[in-house]
Amino acid sequence: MMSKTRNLLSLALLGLAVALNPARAAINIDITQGAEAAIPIAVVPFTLEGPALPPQDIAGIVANDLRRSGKFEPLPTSDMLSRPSRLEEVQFQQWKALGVDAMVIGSVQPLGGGEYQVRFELLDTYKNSRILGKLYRVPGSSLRALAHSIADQVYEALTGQAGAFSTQIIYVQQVGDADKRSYQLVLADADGERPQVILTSPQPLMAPAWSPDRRRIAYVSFENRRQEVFVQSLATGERRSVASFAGLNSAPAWSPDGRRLALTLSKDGNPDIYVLDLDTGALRAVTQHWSIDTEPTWAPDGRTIYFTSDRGGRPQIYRVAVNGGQPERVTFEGNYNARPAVSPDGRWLAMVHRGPGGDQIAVMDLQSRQLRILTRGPLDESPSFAPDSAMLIYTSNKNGMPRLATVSVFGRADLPLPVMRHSVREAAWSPR
Amino acid sequence: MGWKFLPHIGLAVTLHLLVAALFLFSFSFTTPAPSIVAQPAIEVAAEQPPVIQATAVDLQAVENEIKRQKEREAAAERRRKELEAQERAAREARQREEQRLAELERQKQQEQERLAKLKQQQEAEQAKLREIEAQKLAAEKARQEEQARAERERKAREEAEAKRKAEEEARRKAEEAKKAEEARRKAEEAKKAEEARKRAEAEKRRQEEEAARQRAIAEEEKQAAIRSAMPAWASAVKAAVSRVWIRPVGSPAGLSCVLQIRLAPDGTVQDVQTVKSSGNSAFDRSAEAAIRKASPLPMPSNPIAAREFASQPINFTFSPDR
Repeated sequence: MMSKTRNLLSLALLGLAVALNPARAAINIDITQGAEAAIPIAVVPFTLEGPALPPQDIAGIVANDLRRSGKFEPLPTSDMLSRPSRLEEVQFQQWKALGVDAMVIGSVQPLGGGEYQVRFELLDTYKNSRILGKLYRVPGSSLRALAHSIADQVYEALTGQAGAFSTQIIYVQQVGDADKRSYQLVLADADGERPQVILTSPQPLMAPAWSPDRRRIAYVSFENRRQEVFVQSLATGERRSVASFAGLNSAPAWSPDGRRLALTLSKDGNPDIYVLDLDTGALRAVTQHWSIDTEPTWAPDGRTIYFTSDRGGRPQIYRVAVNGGQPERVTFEGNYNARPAVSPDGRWLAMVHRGPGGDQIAVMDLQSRQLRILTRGPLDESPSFAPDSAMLIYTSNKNGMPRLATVSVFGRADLPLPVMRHSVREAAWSPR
Repeated sequence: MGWKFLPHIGLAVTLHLLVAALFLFSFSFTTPAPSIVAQPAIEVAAEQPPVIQATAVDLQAVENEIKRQKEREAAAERRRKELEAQERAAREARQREEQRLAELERQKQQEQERLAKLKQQQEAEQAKLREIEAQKLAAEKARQEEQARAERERKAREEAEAKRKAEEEARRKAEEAKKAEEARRKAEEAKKAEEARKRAEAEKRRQEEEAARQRAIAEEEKQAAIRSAMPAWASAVKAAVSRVWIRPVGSPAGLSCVLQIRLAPDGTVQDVQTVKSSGNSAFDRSAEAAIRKASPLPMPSNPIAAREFASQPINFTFSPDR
C-alpha cells in the first residue's frame, strides 16, 4: 500500500516533469501582429558580359514591374553595396543588413547578331538559397518582354500567384492642338512602354474594351459625327460598326464568353443597358427605366451585369441578371459611385467614388461590402483591372492633364505610367 | 492364477479317488476265497459210519438160523459182501476220500499254489499296480513336477515378465521422477531467477523512481526558473518577430501557418521547418523570413532558461488578427 502510494506519487511527479519537459512539449509563440507590406527585394542590375550595352535595362524593368504590383518594395540601386550576378558572389549578410527578403541577380551577354543570353537567379536572402534560376537566349527586340516574363516568374515564386506583367493596355490618346486635334487608340505594354497606335481618328474615340481572347477591341467612335460602337481585330486591323442606333451607342463591355457586348443605348429615349449578340446582331434590353442606366460591366460568371444608374436620384452602382429582372443597388457609401469594374476573380468591384477628396478610385469587397479608397483624386476615372485582380489602371487628372497610373488593389503603389507627351485616358488592361 | 489350475487339481483328485477305489475292489474279491474252499472238508469227516456194529444169533433159529444163517450168511455174505462192498465202498470211499482229500489237499495245495500264485499274481499285480501306481504317481508326480516346473517356469516367466515390467515401470517411473525432478528443479530455478529478476526490477524501478523523483525535483526547480523567465522572453521574441514580419500584400484573410524553429544558445535561428502550411506560399515565406530576420532572437539573461529555450523546438503560429 505504501509502495503503491509512493509509485503513484512518483508517477504524478513524472507526469509533471513530462508536462514541463521542454524536450517534449515545444514552446508556442503566437504572432498575430505584423505589417502588411510590400516584400523588400533587391533587383540587382544585371551584369553586362560584353562590350555593347543592351538596349534594355532588364533589372530596371523587373524592379519597376514588381514595384507597380504593390507587393514588392525594390531596394534603390543606390543603396546596394555590391552587385553580384551569381549566387556564389552574394554576401548574404550584406543584403540581410539591408533588410531584403529576396534578391534578383543576373547577367546579360550580347551574342552578336542582335541576340543576347540572359541569365537570372532569384535568391532567398534569409535561407541563403536559390529559389529560381534560368538562362535565355533572345533577340534584342524581346529583351523587354523577357524582363516582364522574369518579373512574372519572380512574382509568382514569391506570392504564389501568377503575375500580370506580360500583358498590355490600350488607351485613348489625344494629340494636337485645339484647332488640329486627333484621337488615337494606343496599344502598349502594361508598364506603358512600347506604345503603338492602332487607330487614328479626327473625331473622339472612347471606351476601348478588350475581348476576352485579347484579339479584338471594342470602342466608341464619333468618326461619323455620331456615336457608334466598333469592333476591331488587332491582328488585321479589320473593323466594323456593331452599334449605330439613334442616340447613344456607348460603353461596350465584352461578355466573358466573348460573344456578346453589353452596351448603353438610348434608341428608345433614355439610356438603358442592352446586350448585343455579336454573331446574330440580336439585341436585348437588360434594363428599361426612365433613369440613366450606363457603364455596364460583366461579372466573371457571365450572369450578372453591373452598371451605373441614377434611378435612386444620384449615380450609384446596381447589378442585374443578364436575362433581366429587378436591378439591385450595390453601392451605398457616398452620393456618387460610378463606372463599375469587376475584378477577374470576382472579389472586387472597382468604381469611381466621389468623396471629400473628389473623384477617387475605390474598391469594394463584394463579400464584405467594405469600400476602400485607393487613389488620391481629385479627378480619377476609368478603373480597369489587371488580369491578376491585384492591380488597376486608371486615369488621373492632375493639373488638367490626364495621365495613366496603376494602383494596387490593396491601396499601395499608386504609380503613374511613364510621362507621355499627350493627354491619355480610358486605359483598358488586357487579359492574359 | 488359481482358477486356471482348477481342472488340473480336479484331474488329480479324480485319479487319486480312482486308485483308492481300485485298492478297495481288489481286497474285496481276494480275501473271502479260502474260507469257501475249507468248509466242506470238515463236514465230510463228521458223516463217517462206526465200523464194529455187526454180531451173530439161533439154528432154526440156526437153520433158520443156518438158513437164517445161510440167509444170515447169505445175508452175512451179502452183508459181508455188502460190508465188503461197504468196506470197499468205504475204502473206496476212503480212498476216494483220501483221493478226494489228496485231491482236496492237492486242490488245496493247488489252491494254495493258485492262491499263492494268485497272491503272488496279486502281489505282482499289486506290485505292478503299485508300480503302475508308482509310475502313475511318478508320472503324476512328474506331470505335477512338470506342471509345477511349467508352473514355476510360467511363474518364473511371468515373474520375469512382471519383474521386467516392474523394472520397466520402475525405470519409467524413475525416468518420470527424474524428469519431474528436473522440471521441478528447473521451475524452481526459473522461479528463483524470476524472483531475482523481480527483485532486481523492483530495485531498478525503485532506483528509477528515486532518480525520476530527483530529476522531477531538479526539473521542477529548473522549470520554476524557466517559468519565471518564460513570459518576458516569449513576449520579447514575439515582439522581435512581429516587428519584422511583413505580411504579403493582399493575403487572404484567415491564413495561418505554424513554423518550428531551433535556436542556438545565443538566440541564432538555426533551423526553420514548416509544421503546418497556410496553403499560401507567400504567407508561409513571409513568416519564415520574419523569424530569420529576427535572428538572433532575444534570449533570457538566466543561462539555465536560455539553455532550456535553446534546447527545445519553438513553435511559432502566425495568424494575423485583422
